[in-house]
Amino acid sequence: MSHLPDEVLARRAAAGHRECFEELLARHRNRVYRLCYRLAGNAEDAEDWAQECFVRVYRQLGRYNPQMPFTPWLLRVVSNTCINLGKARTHRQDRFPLGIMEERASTVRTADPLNAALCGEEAQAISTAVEALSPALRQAVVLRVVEELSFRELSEVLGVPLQTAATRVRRALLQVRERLASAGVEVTR
Amino acid sequence: MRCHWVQERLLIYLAGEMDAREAAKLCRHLEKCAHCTTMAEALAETQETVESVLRPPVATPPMLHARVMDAVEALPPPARCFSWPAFWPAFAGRQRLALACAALCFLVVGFLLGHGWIGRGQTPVAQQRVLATPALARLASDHRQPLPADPHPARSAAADPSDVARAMTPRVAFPVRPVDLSREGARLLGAHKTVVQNVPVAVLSYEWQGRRLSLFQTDHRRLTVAGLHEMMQQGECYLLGKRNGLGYIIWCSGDTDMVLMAEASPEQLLRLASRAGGANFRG
Repeated sequence: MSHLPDEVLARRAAAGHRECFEELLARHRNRVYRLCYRLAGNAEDAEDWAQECFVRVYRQLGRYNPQMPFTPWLLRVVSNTCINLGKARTHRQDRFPLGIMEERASTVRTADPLNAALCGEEAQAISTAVEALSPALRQAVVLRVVEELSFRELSEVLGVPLQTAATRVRRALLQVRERLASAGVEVTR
Repeated sequence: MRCHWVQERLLIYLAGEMDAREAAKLCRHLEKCAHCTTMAEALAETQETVESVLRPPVATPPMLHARVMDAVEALPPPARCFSWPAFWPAFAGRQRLALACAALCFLVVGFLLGHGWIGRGQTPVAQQRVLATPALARLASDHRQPLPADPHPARSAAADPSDVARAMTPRVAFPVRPVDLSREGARLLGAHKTVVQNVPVAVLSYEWQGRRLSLFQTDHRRLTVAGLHEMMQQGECYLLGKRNGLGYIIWCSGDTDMVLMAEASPEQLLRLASRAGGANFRG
């Protein structure tokens, strides 16, 4: 089964072959979890969100067209599910963190304290700036940066024209830059 | 080349996804425009900064696989939904394109219908309002004509309404209703076929109080629907009228439209019509 392309597996999974869905899960769980982690903001929610995303993917397999590439469709379902879960969570709490501080806290313990503190502050500022983006802009920038999608792929995932996808990422980056400047964080290469 | 156009496409250019011709034009613009160059550098720097924070890999929890499969095991198989036909090409945004095409078709058909360029054979309601008067004039003309000289099979001496209706039905290709007005003093003389505006009409001729009485029958909504529609909107079950000394009344009996016409007042005809229709009479 491992030699079959995603599209064939998805078609068989849609017909009720759970082993095919399990193969898709094995292939894509890392990228789905990573995306959920960046959009959920913490490991606990990310695991729940990833499970919910895969359940949603399974339910919607009947709508998947095997003539289209599977990965953009998967990412679209996952990112849209995350956006909806994020909105539901935002009703319960004010913040929608990106999971950066949690990750940094675990890595800076062994680093140089001063450098670690500076990195932590900068990461926190970037995190805050990205968190402040609207869901559509955040979705675009996370998919572009985390998933390293090309703009053509991004347009397929978002279901918008290529230029619109690029505009969303550009607006997101400019807003992040503006907020970082307001927070006194200099963005340099 | 304007700065706005360039800045909208800077990220595509920086990602190397722009076609060579456009990329060359944009590059030439950057060489001359300090503002756009600064913008390009700012976008590239910010993207790198965000990448440095968001991109590091994260470890997937080992239990995720089992959790998902447990959840899926409890679910029914995925439901089959709409699938795109094979001839429809696969590309991003095709759903929007399909909706746009449907909306465009709707508008075009609406425009053509509104101008009467299509559906003439089906006589849309707007047209029938115009056609109602000439149709009535044509029926009135037929009413004033003497009965056909050649004896029609339906013009039997018996002139039984059921026999007449049965004989006329294949000629006009719709079920002709037998209408017995003998209780009202109207004697069935015979029946013949006429055509009004390409619509076959069965004409049942009666003698009533020394006058000619004509009952025209047509297939439902092919000729008289405009009148019937107006009648329904006013809460009435029929349309009464008088024109050039002829009274007429229009109503619908089952799937057949009826026009009763005579040199009489519409009110007199109404009594006949209500009895002629019997249980089938409706508006």
